[in-house]
Amino acid sequence: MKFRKIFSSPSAAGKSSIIKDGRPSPVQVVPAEEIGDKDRVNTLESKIESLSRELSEQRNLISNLIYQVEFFKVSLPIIEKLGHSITETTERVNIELTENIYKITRESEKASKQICNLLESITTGKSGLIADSDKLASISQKVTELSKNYEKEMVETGRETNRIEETISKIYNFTENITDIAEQTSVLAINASIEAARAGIHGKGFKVIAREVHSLSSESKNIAVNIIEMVKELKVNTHSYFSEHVENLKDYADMSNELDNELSDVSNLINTQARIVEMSGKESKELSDAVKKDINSIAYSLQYQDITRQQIENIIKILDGMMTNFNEVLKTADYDTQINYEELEKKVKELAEVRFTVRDEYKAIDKNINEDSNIADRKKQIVKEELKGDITLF
Amino acid sequence: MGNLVMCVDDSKSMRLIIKKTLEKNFNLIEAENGRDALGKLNDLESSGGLSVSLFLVDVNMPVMDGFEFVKELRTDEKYNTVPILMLTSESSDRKKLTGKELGVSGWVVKPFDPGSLIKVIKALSVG
Repeated sequence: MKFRKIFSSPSAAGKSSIIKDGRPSPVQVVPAEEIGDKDRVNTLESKIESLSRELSEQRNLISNLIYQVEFFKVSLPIIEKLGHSITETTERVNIELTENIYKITRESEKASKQICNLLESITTGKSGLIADSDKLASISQKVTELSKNYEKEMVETGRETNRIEETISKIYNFTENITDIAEQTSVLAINASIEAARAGIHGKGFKVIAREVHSLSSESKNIAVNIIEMVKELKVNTHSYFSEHVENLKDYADMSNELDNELSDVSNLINTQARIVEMSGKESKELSDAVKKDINSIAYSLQYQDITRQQIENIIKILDGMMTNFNEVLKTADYDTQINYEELEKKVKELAEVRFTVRDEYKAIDKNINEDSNIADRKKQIVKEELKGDITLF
Repeated sequence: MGNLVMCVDDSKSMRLIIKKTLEKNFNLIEAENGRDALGKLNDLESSGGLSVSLFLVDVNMPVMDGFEFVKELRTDEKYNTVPILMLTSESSDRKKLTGKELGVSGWVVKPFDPGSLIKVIKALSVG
């Protein structure tokens, strides 16, 4: 950088002006009558030398400031590139994230609906668990009724058996009475025969009657004895038949009760399962609702990317504004720069590179960090279809 | 009143979040800035499609910002009563006052709560 020279550099040395607050003190005017021309010249030279040194210092300071401004000017495009890189990357990631999150929510909702529909069809409808349970309950009720009928029938049969046995006993008693009467009639017939024989010829007809009566009573007795035998047999058979029938009825009733209990158990089990299925459906819906609720809070958080983007854009705008101001100031300063911009740019990039770690940062200084890693690139090429993400093989 | 909402925002990700938030309740038409939005409104009118029932407008946008767009809208008799909701990260009272003076119906500061945004849009669309 070269400034216009205002003062020529003084040759004299060793004298300096008083410096106050970084500024040279005003030149003191010495009356000519007190000091000679030579002294006056010396004093002036000394002041000029001091002012020149101050000027040189100020010039160096300004030169340094201008260098820093130029440094900032060269850095600004890199900062802008970094800013854009941040906003572009975060926006891209944000869009992917948003799409994926909403996709997950949509799928979750869809799955939940399918689960609910499936569970509903399992529990309700014509062939659902509840319908099956109702059918079983209906069958169980019929079986209960059947069992009760068997029990009723059993009681009735027992009662009927008793009645029949009573009747048989009565018939037996009647038959025994008939036997007694027949025996008495027989005795009576014998006595009549004796009396007829005693009557002689006059009792001849009566004797015939007495014989017939005796014969009749014998037959009656025989018949009564036969009846008694038959009644005895009937009693045994009736008892045996009805006992067996009652036993069968008891077995049927027991089996019906057992079946009824089993049906009740199955029906209860189905009801329990139906309740569990209903509960699962409810839980699935609650889970889906929770996911929907969460998506709202995620959507809220996702918006911070846009806010960050605006903040970064604002920072860049402020820096641009500063740059414009600097340019305006430097325009009016009327100076010639001798800065080697290529070197300055190189220096800025070197300084930045020391700090950089991420690939996108290197892009901001137009540097490809992989240009010397051919081997790693080749390996990466080989496995790129299997590996995802930023992976470096050594 | 129909249920077509126009979202004017330069951020693609923000438009996506708005779209996902509203898609179950409203039809959405998107624009990247005020100028783009005016063009799309013209296209909509030419095609004789649905008319926009509410605008969601960002403030800071390139080409034509939200305030300029609102000014243009309010000078058009077709849109001078359609509700406009500013959806922006700007939260200063000064900007809100500017919006109010331009005739916007409401101001939602980002980040917004999706459920609340839907409620506000429904309320404004019905009213």
